Amino acid sequence: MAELLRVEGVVKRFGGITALDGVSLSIEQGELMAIIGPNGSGKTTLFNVINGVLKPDAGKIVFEGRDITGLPPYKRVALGIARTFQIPKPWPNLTVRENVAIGALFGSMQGRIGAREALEIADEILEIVGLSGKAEVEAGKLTVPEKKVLELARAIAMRPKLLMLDEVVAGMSPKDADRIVDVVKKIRDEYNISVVSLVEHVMRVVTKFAERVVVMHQGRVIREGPPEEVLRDPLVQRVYLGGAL
Amino acid sequence: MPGVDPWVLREALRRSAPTLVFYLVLLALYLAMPQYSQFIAMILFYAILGQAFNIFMGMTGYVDFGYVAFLASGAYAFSLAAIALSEAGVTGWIFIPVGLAFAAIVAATLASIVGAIALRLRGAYFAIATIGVNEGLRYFVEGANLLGGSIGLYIVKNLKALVGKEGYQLAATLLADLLMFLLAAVTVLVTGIILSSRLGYALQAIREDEDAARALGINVTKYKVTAFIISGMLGGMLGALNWALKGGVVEPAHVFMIHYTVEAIVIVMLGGAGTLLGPVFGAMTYIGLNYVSNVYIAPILESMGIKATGLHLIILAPILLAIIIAAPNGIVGLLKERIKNPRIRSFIT
Repeated sequence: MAELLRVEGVVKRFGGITALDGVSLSIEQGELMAIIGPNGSGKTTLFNVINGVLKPDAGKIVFEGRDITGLPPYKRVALGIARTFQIPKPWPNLTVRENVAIGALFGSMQGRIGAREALEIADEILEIVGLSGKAEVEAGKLTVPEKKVLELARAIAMRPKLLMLDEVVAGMSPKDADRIVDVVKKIRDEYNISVVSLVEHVMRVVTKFAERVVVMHQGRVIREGPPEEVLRDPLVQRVYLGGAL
Repeated sequence: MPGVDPWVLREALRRSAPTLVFYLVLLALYLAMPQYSQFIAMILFYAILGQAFNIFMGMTGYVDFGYVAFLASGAYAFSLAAIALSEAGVTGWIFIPVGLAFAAIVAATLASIVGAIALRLRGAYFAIATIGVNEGLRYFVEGANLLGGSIGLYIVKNLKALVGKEGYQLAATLLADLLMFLLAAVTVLVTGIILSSRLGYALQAIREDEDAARALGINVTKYKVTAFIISGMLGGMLGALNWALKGGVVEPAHVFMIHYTVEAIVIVMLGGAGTLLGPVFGAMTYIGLNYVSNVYIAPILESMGIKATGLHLIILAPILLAIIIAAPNGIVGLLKERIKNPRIRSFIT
């Protein structure tokens, strides 16, 4: 498999706090990866550095062999990097359909499709994620799990090569969570995209979803490997349950 | 918006149609009832003001307190064009298209300069920076004694030199008003096209959540500046028609009055931000209430011995407040909520 994204020695400091302390990892094309770690371990900061919202203090981001460290978010999106937010950020007064269409308009097909095609793509994707019934509803009126599905739909509409999901199943019922995992896998199979998912607590989903797990703690990658192995690792268990490392 | 997709045009026409019908009705009333023509022209001015202002404020949520500077720059540009043409010995109606084009160019230039700087600021900081633009320009013109200084530009004799005495009479009355109707239609269509195309989707995403818009691939600065320039150009042409052509006078104390910006905000909020019908409803309500409070309610209070300048505004303000509390999304927002019939609803754009 070819490498899609490489993060090399990324450091990010906020004042005196070092949120990312030399993070290096890579994602293969078509891979399903989970990044786990307790609250404050730097997962979301890493996401923000990858999609360009934050600039790293050191290190670089390489996407498809190209150094993208200096690119603004909209250019990274055009290259094929899409994300969802931990706290859903739909555009509340626009309809569900419009929300997804905007994803398509400004995603990797940016400039190549018009509003009409974008609305058609939105309809297809809403069908896939099971949100068609709410297409004309204003996004602000959805329930929280529905908003998370909408986030996912919007990111899928961007036709990314790399889909970054931030706690997409947190707070969902096991049934809803399973459905989301199925949708993500289906999308991966259909478009051969890579998926990185940030997960804080829902380990059941990690084993069900990920082919590889990266564990972060205090801004560093401390372990990586297949889910069953990593989750049994005593160091990983100590990170979650407390105690000396 | 180069190479507009036919689907976008159809969609834009569908969205614009109800508002265009309103303007046609206003035009018919204007022609049929000459005694009310200036009252209708006033509604028209405020409707266009709201419509042009709405393209930026209504769609992005950014409040430009210096908006009237675009109207002023357009009025000055039109006057300068008229003066230059008449002094060059040119005659005929050509000064109108030339003047309007120059007004649009000058307003667009001002908008690109202000936009490129101020649109990097968010929310209230943007609003404060833009007040400075308007006031700064006004004091610059007055203080540096440019463009007629604090007296301004009087172009009536230039207009008479260009198209003769009768021509001027026509230009300053019927022709100016008809051109305003044309500008109204153009503004509505431009809004419709924006709303139906990627620009409109980008702007609405920015209004709803700018951080999400940025993270999801929208070049927010580019789209904000584009909308700002379009909105400013239309404002520039409005200022040119209303003050330079129709009035023949451009006085800095008048054309830079922040009052117009505030009225534009009221009209957009009253009618419904980001909608097409909103500014028309907003302008009719605002001017209508202004008239009623001035002509009917204020005299009653005066007969009771309460006398004050601007008394009608004290009556108008609470009425406006009440409407905005009752309909926070404007009149159009309220109609959209109340009307469930999808066929009727599709006309409320």
